[in-house]
Amino acid sequence: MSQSNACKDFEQDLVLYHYGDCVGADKQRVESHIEGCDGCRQFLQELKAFLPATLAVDEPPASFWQDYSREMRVKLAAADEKPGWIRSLAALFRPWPVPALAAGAIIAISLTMTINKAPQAPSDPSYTDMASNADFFKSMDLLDSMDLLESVETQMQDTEKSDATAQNL
Amino acid sequence: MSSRPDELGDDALVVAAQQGERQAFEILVERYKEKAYRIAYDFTRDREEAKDLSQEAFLQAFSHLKGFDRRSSFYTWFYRILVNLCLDYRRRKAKVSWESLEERVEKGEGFANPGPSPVEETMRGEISERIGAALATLPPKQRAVFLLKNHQGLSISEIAGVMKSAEGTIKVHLHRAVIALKQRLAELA
Repeated sequence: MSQSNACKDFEQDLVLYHYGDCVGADKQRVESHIEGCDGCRQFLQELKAFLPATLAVDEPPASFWQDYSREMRVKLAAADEKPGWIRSLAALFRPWPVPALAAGAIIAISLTMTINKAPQAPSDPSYTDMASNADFFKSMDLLDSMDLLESVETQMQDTEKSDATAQNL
Repeated sequence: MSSRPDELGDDALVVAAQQGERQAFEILVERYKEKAYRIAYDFTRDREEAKDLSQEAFLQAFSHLKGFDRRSSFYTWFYRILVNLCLDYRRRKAKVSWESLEERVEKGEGFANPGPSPVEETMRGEISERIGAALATLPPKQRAVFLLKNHQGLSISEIAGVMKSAEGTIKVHLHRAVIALKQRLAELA
């Protein structure tokens, strides 16, 4: 193929002109130019010669189209099945939203309570604190007992004093 | 429905398919499968890959059909899905190293085809092979613009719409693609 040299300023417009996309003033400008320019005229002729030849032609046999349609039906059915399955699963739970929510809430509360009531490990430091607190309470009990004894003793002394006073009289 | 389903217009079929009638969409597939295949074939130049790409486009359209608002025609909407898939295909193919590509072009081998059969080779001829090889050397966007213009006959504004680019950019891509192809074919001649 010989290579023509079109004017650079016109090359793009010549391509558009070939395809019929050069209109109005641009079209007139191109047409008046190619009248006096051999290079651009030859360039246009070359486009007309080689561009249609670039079209790919493929004519598959009838069996190809039958396979095409059959495959498409299978693929479309598969694409249609998936959301249908999800829809039917969702529909199964649709009449029971309130009982389902209530059941869920009960399960959640039960689990929370069970976890909170679980026995703590003996190594838990809070156990040591509790043990020391028990000793403290024991000592408190002792003090209470001492107070009680003191008060009994005081009462006895008071009784003895009053008896002595009565004898003196 | 009073008329036969395959006699219904695209809009009616789309509405039926949106309401869950898969058969309505299957009629749309039958109506546009050949066009879709030819577009994909322009990009791939390989029968099996063209079939896979065009079928994938139908499946994507089917999956997103409920989101299709029918402001444009079904075919325009579907066409955009298909072309975007073809562009993705070209981008994946463009990852092939340039050196390997150049080597194959020099040998006159097709790009997408592993190798044509003797019958195909006779039918398509050496020139067609060279054109396929030359097209394969174009950057993906240039190739897409060229195919949409030269093979599909879309207007510049339609291509700009499909590719979401400015019309000026499309014109530049088209110009560069044509010049590169012309030069490449001259080298191979």
